[in-house]
Amino acid sequence: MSFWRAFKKQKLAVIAGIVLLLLIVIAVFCTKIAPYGINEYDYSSCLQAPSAAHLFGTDEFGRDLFSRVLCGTRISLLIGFASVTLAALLGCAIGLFSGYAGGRTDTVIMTACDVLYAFPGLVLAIAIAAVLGPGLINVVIAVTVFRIPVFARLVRGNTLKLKNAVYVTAERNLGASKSRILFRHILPGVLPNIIVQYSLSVSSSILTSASLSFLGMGAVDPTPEWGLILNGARTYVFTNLYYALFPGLAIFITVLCFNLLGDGLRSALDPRLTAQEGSIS
Amino acid sequence: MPAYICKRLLSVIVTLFLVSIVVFFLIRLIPGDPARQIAGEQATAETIANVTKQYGLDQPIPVQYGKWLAGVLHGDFGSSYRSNQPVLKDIAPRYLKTLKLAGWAMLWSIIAGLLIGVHTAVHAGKWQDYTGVIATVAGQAVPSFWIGLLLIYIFGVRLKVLPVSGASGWKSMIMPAFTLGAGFAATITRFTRSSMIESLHENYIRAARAKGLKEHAVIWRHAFRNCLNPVVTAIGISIGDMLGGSVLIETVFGYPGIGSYLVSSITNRDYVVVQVLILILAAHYVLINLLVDIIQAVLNPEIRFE
Repeated sequence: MSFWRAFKKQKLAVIAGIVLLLLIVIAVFCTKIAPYGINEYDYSSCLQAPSAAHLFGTDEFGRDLFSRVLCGTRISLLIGFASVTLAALLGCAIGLFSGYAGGRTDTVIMTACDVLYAFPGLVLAIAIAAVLGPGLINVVIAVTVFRIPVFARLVRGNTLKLKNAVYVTAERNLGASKSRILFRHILPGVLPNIIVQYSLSVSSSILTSASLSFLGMGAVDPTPEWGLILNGARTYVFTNLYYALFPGLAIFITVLCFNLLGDGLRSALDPRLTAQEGSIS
Repeated sequence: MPAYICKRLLSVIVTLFLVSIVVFFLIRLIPGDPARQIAGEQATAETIANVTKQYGLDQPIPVQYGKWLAGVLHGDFGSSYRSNQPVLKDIAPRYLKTLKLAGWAMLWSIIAGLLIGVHTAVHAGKWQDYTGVIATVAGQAVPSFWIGLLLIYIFGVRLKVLPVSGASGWKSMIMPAFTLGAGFAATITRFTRSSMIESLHENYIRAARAKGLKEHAVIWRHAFRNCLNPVVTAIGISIGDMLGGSVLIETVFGYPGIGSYLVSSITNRDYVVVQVLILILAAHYVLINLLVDIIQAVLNPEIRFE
């Protein structure tokens, strides 16, 4: 209960959470809300400015941008949640195991994570996307792989701290099995950090997948992925600003909300963490 | 201190070595015969056989890796199949251009980040602070390529004051450098602000003020000194984003650096070049982080004994 009270105090995060819920609703019902199909060509109305018929205007094929951006919500949120959930599950498992096992296993696993960490974020995603080829599933894989070390490191660090805690030692002495200790005792201690990192990672993964699609290595036409729409807008930005304006705005709002939510969660879950560098409050 | 540097250097060498293995194998993970990848879809069996021999693709993998690594360490990155030029010759001028762009971006963002961070911390709770915080939060959430496109429209098309692409003259670097540094500046501002706020609450600051020291000196000679360490950490963390960001920014602005070269090489399936570029970017990231760690160890003696 105290968590909710603490969270409610983070007004910005609450607003962000509400906007995100709205985005999820849009994502679920996008095909019903959208006035046109996402691939409805209409050569008589190409590259039109926003109007009553086309709220965000049309692209070079006459497709309604409002419908495309709306349906892009579903894709971005799906990619964001899918990749980060996968990365979190795998990363946590690796981190728990590595932290608890210690010794040589830990060193080997952490060296592997260090190697993945050695690649600047987008470059790793680009490299994986280059190998796998374009397509949404490959984007999810690329983004997942580059997020796993983040969770693994986070969980491993916390596991190392907690594995010598008094209550864990007590459990061990009582004869609890390793997996019981890991999942019933250590994991709940790590959970707040995981939740914060989850929210921040979703925004990062949405940004990365939009970047990949923008570069032509991610989603493929006619998928209305926001980054891909921006890629199309590039050619026409000299005369049609609105084409680039709305998909970018959509990315911005979504990423902003996840960032604010993550910051709010961090402040609510552990007031001590707000003293860390980089927090707003 | 030397012990710390040696330890870090050793781990960096191991990491770079492993990174080179990953990069080498990454390209070979692409489904299909590597010779066909290099030679292109239309190649005849004879061309493929020639390519195989030319690039030594018929030899066992460890031998291929050994030869490639030996070449890389001597600065011989092989030849691009597309242009038939040695890769080094193609990369060198582009590398310098990217270096210039990244250099300017870092310069403006570090200076702006520190100044704005200190300013918002000193005026914490007032309108200057709120504006600053909103700007930083927005700056970290905004997609750089989107801002790039908007800037091109505003300054290149509407106002016609800046060139929209290319690298001719200093004017063409303004927009790319600004966009590249924006997210970086936002992160530095946030870190500077929170560590300044912490510093300003310390007892020695109260003592300095009680002494009668001018506020200006209190802020800059005392509090600011102590917030540099977290900022160096922030730089280390954010450099990776900047390296990745340069790929996007150079593509948006048509700037002929290694970022846009990477994208065009991937599109053209010029895997020899792709391999080298990824290795270069990763190596820079690792080495910059090493530099950041050493600087931190210099600033904070506690780290040397961890």
